[in-house]
Amino acid sequence: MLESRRSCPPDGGYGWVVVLSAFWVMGLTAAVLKNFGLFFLDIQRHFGILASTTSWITSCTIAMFHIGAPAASAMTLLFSQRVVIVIGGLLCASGMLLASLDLSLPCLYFTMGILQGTGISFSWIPANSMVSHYFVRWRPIAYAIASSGECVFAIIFGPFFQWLIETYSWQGALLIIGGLQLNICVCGALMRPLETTQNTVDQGATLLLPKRSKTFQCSLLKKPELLLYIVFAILAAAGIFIPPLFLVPFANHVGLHDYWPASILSLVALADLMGRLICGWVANMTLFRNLQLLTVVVSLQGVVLMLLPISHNYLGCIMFLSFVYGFLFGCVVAIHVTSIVDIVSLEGFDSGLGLFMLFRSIGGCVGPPLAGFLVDQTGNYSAAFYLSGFCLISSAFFVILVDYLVQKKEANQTEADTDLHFSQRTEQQK
Amino acid sequence: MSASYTHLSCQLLLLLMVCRHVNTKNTTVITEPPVETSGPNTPPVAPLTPLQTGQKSVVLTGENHTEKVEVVNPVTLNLECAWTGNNKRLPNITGYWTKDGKTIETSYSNIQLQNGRYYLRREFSIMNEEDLGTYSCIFDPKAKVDFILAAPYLGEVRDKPIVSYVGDSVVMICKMDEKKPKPLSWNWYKQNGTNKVKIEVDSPGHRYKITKDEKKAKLVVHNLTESDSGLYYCGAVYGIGTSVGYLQLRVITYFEPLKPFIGILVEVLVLVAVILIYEKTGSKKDDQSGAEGNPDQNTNQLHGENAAADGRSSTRQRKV
Repeated sequence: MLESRRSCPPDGGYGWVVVLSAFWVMGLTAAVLKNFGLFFLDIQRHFGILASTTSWITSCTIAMFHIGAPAASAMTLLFSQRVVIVIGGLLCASGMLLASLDLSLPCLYFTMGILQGTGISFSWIPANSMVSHYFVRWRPIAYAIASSGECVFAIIFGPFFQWLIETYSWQGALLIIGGLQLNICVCGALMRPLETTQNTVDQGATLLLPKRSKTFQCSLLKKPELLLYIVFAILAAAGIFIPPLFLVPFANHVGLHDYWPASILSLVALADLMGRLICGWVANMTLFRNLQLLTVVVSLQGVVLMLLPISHNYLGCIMFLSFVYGFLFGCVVAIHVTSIVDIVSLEGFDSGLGLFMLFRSIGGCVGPPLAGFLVDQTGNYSAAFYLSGFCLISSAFFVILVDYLVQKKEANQTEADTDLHFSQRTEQQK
Repeated sequence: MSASYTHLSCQLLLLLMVCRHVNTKNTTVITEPPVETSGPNTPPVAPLTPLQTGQKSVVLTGENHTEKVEVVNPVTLNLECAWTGNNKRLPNITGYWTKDGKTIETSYSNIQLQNGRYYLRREFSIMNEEDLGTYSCIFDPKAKVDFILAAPYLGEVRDKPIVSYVGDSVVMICKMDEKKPKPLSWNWYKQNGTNKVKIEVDSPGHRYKITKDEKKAKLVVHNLTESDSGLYYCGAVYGIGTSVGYLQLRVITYFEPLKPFIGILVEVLVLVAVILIYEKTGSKKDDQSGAEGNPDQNTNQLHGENAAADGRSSTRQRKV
């Protein structure tokens, strides 16, 4: 009888080297993206353009990051994670290098926007994929540690980039950051590919067959679980990307000035880091299913965001709620990617992740402008937080649906297996 | 009769002389810049415009207070300090004024308690830049109010050096706040050794370009060279004087950031080579010893995955 293919996750050993490498990759990509804002003023002044024109560069990068995700997944399946990460690193570095030459503004959109965004996509997606392939038992915590790289590097890069810009001006700073991103290639070199083996059990003999080449499975979309999970992703992205944008203006509006709004953001970043690590550890204890944990965390986050406007100008209240928001944000990040494995199984993970990221971008693109529109209409920042809270709570319903469907599918699967083996045994007895 | 007549004429003469002296004293006190109305040989006659007057009063409740006063044009300033006093509440105390730390000798006066406060007033003529500074009224022994008289301060001027590259062009901006009065004009200076050299737009090479707005002045320098590094001053010219801010420019070549970049590039290449070589040699050893142990490894890992999967029964164990 033919049994299903299994790639054998080592669940430790070299896997921890992979986690470390993924830690660096996530740091060198996502953290650089988070700190793009430091170049904002200098670029705006240099080209003499509006703030909105400058912010399109970042939007371009983020858009390419999401659009490039399915391509990155497909290439990962075709070649291996290692090759794609190296390509991603080279793209990132070349993007920064060309941007530092300071040729023209449209050139900047192409280099810092498209090249950098594609490079980040080609590095981030395979790194995630690799961690998931190397672990089974420790997957949540491994992924949590890897994704915390984004937070740690974001905290370090803030003052470091500022210093680079002051010493070498933004062109020189971009050149050096491009050089730093070449280290993604080093991390890619560390991503040793796993061997997938196919086992056939045929009356006592175990044969090893050559691995079957995998293809990008668009057919995964036909699975209702994945489809519903993608709807969750869209709503959650809409809800999650709104608060970071509006937290500081809200704090200013409510009456907090000077350095308090900036310290709120730092608090959120720190809580994010704690949330990712602690939630990864909790998810690892398998007290609950990943999807159950995700439901709880997402709905809590929605509730916290709804409460935030009610805190008025009580500083302690705002700080506490922001901290909880940051913590829950980290929790969601820690679980929502590893949950994809529960839904589409490890073979479909790469394709599933690519599709997940692609559709998530819709939420990320629609959410903030819609919130901005509501804020303009009501003249009050509370509207943005109510919207994001609503999006998150409604997305939690979809997670519950997905969880139910996945449980039902697994129950059916075990039933079919027991039937199969029962018929096997009866045949053998004959 | 004749004695009284000469006495009267002497008095009249004296009066005329005093009047003439007062007249000349008034003409030296000029508020607006002198206007040329007469011909080339006659000295210019300045219009006798009345001097602007200003008033600044401060009530001091503690022991120290600092007040910033912005002076735009020459003005006669009345400064008044009112001190609520300390516990002792003496009926008579002494007070005096200082300028930039130096006591004004004629300003010593006895102050009496009036309406629960001690008042100290003085009139100052602020005519030019030397008259600006810190004027303090001091109540013996310790209470003090500082009035810092200055031309309007420039807005946010960047304190970190501006960095630019050789051959590039740089824009330096000096701004005056929206709420503050407009300057009469703007000037740009460059530090050359110990003196400030005024920057003219018509300098050889046409490298400098100065754009003056009402509240903003921009200096654009094209085709930078390393000698352009240094301190630049922008001055907002007011009737009373110039308010100066400074900017520092640093011009560097492309080699400066290139050095760390090449360092990182070398590090990356070395690490990648080391990792790949290590893996190649490692995998060769694995190939030699791995062939025997493979089937056992696979079944073990199979069981491992089963045990870890959530609640799935391990019905995959073969039963013979």
